[in-house]
Amino acid sequence: MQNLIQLTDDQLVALYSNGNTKAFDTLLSRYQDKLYSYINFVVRNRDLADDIFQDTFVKAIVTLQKGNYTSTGKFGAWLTRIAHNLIIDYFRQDKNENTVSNDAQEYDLLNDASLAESNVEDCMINDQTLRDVRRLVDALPDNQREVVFMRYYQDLSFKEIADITGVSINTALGRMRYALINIRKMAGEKGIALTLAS
Amino acid sequence: MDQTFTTSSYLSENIIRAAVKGGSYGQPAQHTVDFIRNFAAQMSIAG
Repeated sequence: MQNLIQLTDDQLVALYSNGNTKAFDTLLSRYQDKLYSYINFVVRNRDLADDIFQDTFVKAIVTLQKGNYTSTGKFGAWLTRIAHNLIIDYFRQDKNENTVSNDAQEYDLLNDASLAESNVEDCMINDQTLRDVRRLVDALPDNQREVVFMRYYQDLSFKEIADITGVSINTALGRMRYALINIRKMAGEKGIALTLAS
Repeated sequence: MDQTFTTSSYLSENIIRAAVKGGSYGQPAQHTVDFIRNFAAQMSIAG
């Protein structure tokens, strides 16, 4: 009996395409937390993240069963690209319906009361500093926050980030550069030290 | 380039990385995972 956990993504995809549902379960287990984290980090809404997570896998399953998936050894990046496109579709539709605007969240969070409560004493505690920095990252515009997460949490290269988000490498690099500039600017304005006590 | 500036930038980037890495972004609901498993099995049978 094969140990499915030890197989590569592409081997599992091939097995699932031949009717081995346990192979799919292994793929799902391998990527579910990482993919959900990415979606939830971007959309900041657990129910919406669940919906997009489900739609991502439904799309992936249909594509696999139709034999339209091309093995490239980058199954995780492929899943993330599907999720990214669904997130874009959702925000586009949401904006058109004039409900809760994604744009409205940008930069307004600079005046977030929770950020204002941060003070120099809090920043002396490392955990607090990291929490403060996470709030700063959360206050970034969506496209910058997404790049920060892909680079620092998912450890993706800028080439991979560019492929997933459908932009040039220079644009991905530019978004990261502006993200860092904005984080440092907000940290300066809020008196948050970007260093940890040793 | 100013050595202090370079070191400071490097440090702060590491802090941002640590903050993002250390965050908890949740897990999918169990019923969602179950739905996906069942859907995958049904599609496999249908295919």
